[in-house]
Amino acid sequence: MLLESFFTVLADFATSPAMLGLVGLGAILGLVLGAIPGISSTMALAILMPVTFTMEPGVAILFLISVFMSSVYGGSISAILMKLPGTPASIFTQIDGYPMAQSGRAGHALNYALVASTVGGMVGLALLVVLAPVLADFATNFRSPEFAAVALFGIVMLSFASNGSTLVASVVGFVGILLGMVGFDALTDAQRMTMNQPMLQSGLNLIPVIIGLFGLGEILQNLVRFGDAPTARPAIGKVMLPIAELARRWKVMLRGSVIGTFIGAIPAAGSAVAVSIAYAQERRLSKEPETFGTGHPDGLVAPEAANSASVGGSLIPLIALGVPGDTITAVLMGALMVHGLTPGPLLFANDPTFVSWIYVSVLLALVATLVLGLGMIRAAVLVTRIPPQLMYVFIAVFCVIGAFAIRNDMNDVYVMIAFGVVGFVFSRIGLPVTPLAFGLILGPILEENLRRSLMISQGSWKIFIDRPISATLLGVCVLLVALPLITALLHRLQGSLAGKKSENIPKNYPGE
Amino acid sequence: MTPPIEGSARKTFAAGLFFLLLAGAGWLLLRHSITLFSGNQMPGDPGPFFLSQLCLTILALAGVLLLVFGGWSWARETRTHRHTEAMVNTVREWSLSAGFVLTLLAMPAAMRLLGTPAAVALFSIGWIYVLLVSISGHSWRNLIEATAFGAATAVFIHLFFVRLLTLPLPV
Amino acid sequence: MKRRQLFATVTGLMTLASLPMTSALAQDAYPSEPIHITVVWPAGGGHDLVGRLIGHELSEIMDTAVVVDNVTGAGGSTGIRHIAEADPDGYTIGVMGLHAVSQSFMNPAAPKLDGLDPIAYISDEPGAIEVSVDMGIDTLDDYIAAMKSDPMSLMNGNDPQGGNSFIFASVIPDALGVNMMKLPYPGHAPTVTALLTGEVQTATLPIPPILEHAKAGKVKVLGVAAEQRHPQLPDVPTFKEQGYDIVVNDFVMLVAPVGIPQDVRAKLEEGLLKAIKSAGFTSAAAENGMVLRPGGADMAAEELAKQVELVYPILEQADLVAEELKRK
Repeated sequence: MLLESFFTVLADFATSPAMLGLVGLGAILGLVLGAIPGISSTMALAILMPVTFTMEPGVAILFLISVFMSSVYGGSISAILMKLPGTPASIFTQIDGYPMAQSGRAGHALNYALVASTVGGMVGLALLVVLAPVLADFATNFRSPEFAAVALFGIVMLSFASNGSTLVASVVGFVGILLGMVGFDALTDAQRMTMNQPMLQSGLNLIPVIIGLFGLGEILQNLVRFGDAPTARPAIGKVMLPIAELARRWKVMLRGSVIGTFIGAIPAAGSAVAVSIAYAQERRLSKEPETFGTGHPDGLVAPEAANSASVGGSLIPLIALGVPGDTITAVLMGALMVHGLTPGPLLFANDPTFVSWIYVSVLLALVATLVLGLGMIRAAVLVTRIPPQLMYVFIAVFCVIGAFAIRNDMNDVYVMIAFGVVGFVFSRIGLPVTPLAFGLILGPILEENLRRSLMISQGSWKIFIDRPISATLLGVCVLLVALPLITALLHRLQGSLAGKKSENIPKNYPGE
Repeated sequence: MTPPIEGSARKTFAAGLFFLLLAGAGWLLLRHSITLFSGNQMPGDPGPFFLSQLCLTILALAGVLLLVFGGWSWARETRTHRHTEAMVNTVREWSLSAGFVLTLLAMPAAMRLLGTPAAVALFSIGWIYVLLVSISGHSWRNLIEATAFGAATAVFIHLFFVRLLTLPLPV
Repeated sequence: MKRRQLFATVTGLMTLASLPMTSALAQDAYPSEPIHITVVWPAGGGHDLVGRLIGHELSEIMDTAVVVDNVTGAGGSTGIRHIAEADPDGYTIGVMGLHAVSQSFMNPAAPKLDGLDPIAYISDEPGAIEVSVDMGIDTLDDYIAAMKSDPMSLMNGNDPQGGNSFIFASVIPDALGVNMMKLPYPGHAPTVTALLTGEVQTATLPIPPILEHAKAGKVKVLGVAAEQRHPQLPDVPTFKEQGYDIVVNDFVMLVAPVGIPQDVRAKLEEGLLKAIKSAGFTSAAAENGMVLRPGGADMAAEELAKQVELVYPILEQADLVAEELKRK
C-alpha cells in the first residue's frame, strides 16, 4: 500500500516541471551553501526556512529536503578541496579526500564522494521504505545501556582508525573524551574544567575544534618553510572517473550504507557516529590499511556512503515515533511545526501519502544532487588552482567566520585557533589527529548513557550484560580487542612451525 | 623494540611529556571544578568526575610509559648534537606559522573594534602580501595584488555573511 | 498553482537578499535595520519556533527584516549574555524562559537578570505529569497509589538540574506526597524518546513536546499544573480539580538589553504585542500546545519577579544555589 502511494506521488512529481524546478533550486542552494566552509547542513536549513513561510507545507518540505540532501554532499566539497569539514559528518571525508585532491585527483575524489553519497542515500531510502517498521523496532530497543555500548564500540574501533601505534591512538582518543567533558555535565549541574569561565562553560563545540585541527592545522604546517621551495599546485588531472572504477567499490559503498542506515536510525546517535564507525570498519577490513589517510578511495567512499545513508536512517525515528533522530532532523521537524504540522505518530499514521511525499522528496533530491553535482565538479576542481598564498588566507578567514557562525559565539573562534595549534603540534611530534575527533564525538555519548544506565540499575554494572543488544555489542568489543592479539599469537606460532618446516625442506632433498 | 611514534625516540619522549603535561593541567582544572560542585547526584551515578578522573589516570600512565620508553631509547641512541644553528633554523622555519596564529588571535578583538569587513581586509591584505614577499620578494605589483585580493575577500564576507545571511558578526 | 510556488520561492529568496541592503540605506526612524531575535537553544526547538514565528510576523508589522540568531551553549547562558551585552538600540532582542532564572542562581558566571529588560510576555508553559499508556495508569490517584506501594516502579524522565521539567519534577511529587526517581535527560526531545521507548515510565514535561503523543494515545497526561485546563487537552483535569493545589509553570517572554531609549522601547513593545496577537502566530502556537497569555513590558517584569520567588526556594532546597549567589 505504501509502495503504491509512493509510486503515485512519484509519478505526480516527476511530471510536474514546477516541482522539479523547485527540487533543482533547492539542490543548487544546498550544494552552494554546503560547499561554503562554515555553513553546515543545519545552518543551510535554518537560513532557508523563512523562504518557505509562504509555501504550502508539502512543497516546503520538498524544498527543504532538497536543500538538506544536497548540502550533505556540498559539505564534502570543501572537505575534499580545502580540508575544511563544515559538518561533523564530513570529518572523515577529508582524511582521504584532501590527499587525493593534493595529488591531482580532486575530480576523482569529488566523483567518488558524489556517487558514494548518492548510493548511500538510495540504500538508506530503500531500507527506510522497506524496513521502516523493523528498523523502528530496532531503534526503540536502544536505551541508555545500548547507547553506551555503541559508543564504547566506536571507541574500540578508533584504534583501527589511524596509522601507527594502537596505544598512542587510544591515548589520543582519551584526550578527545576529556576535551568533550569541558563545560557543563549533561546530567548534573557540575561544571568541569571550566575555572568558572564563560568561555569554557560553553564547552568545546565539535565544529570549531574540527575546523581548527584540520583546516587551520594544515595551513600552519604548510607555512613552515613557505617560500623556500616553490609550492607546487596540484594538477587538475582527469576530472571524470571511469564507471568501472566506481562499480569496483560497490562492496565498500554497500557496507558504508548499511552501517549508516542502522546507526542513523538509533535516536540521538546521528551521522557523526555513523561515519566514524564506517571509516574505522573499512580501514580494519582493508587489505592495505596503511594507505588510508594518504588518499585511498575506500577511505573516502565508506564514510560518504554512511553519511548519506544515515539521513534515511535518521528519518525512521521521526516517522515511526515522531521524535527527531539528530540535530538536522530536529530542524526539519521545526520546519514542519512552523507549518502547523507536528510530526508525531498521528501525522504519519493518518496520512500515508505524506510519508510517501517525504520519501519521494528524498529520492528526487538525491537525483538532483547527483546531476547538478556532476555538473559542478568541473568548476569546483578549479579551486585547487588558486595559488597557495591566496588559498591559505581565504581558508583562514573562512575558519574564523565558520567557527563563529556555528553558535554565533566569538569564543568559538579562540577554540578554533587553539586547536589549529594543537593540530600543528600533533603533526610535529607525530601524534595522530583522527582519534581526537573520535573521542570528542563518542565521549559525551558514552559518559551520559553509562551514568544514566547505572542510575537505572542503582549502581549495578550487570545491566550492561543483562540486556541482549548491549551484551552482544560488548562481546564484539572484547573480540575486536582480543582478535588481533590472538591472530598475532597464532601467526607467531605458525611462523615458528613454518620456520622449522622450511629448515627441513633442504634436508628432504639432499641430492640437489 | 622500536619507539611507538614513527620509530623516533625523540618524538616518543616529546609525546610522553605532552601527555603528562596535559594530564597535570587537566587534573588542576578538574580539582577546581570538584570544589565548585555541590555534590548533588543520583544514587548509582558514579558522578560527573568519575570518567574524567579515569581518563586522566590513563593519560598520566601512558605519558609516563612513553616518557620512560622514549628517554630510554634516546639514551641508547648515538647522540647527535643539535647545533645552535639548527635551532635558529627551526625558529626561522616556524616564524610564519607563529605569526599567523598571533594575528588570528587578534582577529576577534579587531572584528569588534573595526568591524568584520575591515578586520578581514587588514588580515587578508597583510598576509597575502607577506606570503607573496616570501615567494618573490617585495614589489609594488605584489602589494597591489595583495590589496586587490584582500579587499575582494572582505567584500565577499561582508556581502555574503553579513548582508545576505545576516550573521550577527560585529560590523 | 505549483508554478506559483516556485515563483514565490524565487521572489522570497530575492527579498531575503535585498531587504537588508535596501533598509540599510534609510537611516531615519526605528526600525531602519534588521532586528535580530536571539534564541539561546539550537534550531528546531520550542524557543526557536517561537522566535521564527514571531520574527515572521514582526517583519511584516515593523516593515523590516527580522533574523533569528541561535546563540547556544552553557545551558543557555551564552545566549542570555549575548542579549544582555548587546547594544541597547532595539535591534537585538531574545526569547527567554525559566532556564535563565535557574542559571542566574546556579552559575556564578551566568548573566544576572537585572541586565535584562522584559519587553513582552508570550505564554505560560504549565507543568504536567505524563505516564506511558503501557503502564495502565489512568488517573492521578492510580499513580499516587502505585508510587506509594513502590517508589521505584515508575521512573521519571526530566531535564538536568535547573531545567523546567526538573523544576516540575521537584514541585509536583512533593505536593502529591510521593518520592520520585528522577532520571536526567539533556533536553525535551531525548526525554520524549525515553518515555516512548519505555526507559522511563513517567515524565514531567510541559505540554508542547508531548501534545501529539498524547493525542495519539501513546501517552496519558494525568494532570496539568495550571489554574485552567490546557486548551489543546480539554479532557485532562488540572491538579486543583483533583484536589492538589499545584500551580507551576515555565514561561516564554521576549527580553532586550537594559537601556533602550524610551521611544524605541515603546515601538518595539507595541510591534511585538501585535505580532504575538496576530492570527498567524496564535494559530500556529496554539496548535503546538502553547498557552498564550500576551502581555506588555510591565506584566512581563511582574511575571519574571514572581518566577524568581518561585524558583529560588526550590533550587535552594535542592542545594543547587551557588555559594556566592545565596541570599543572606
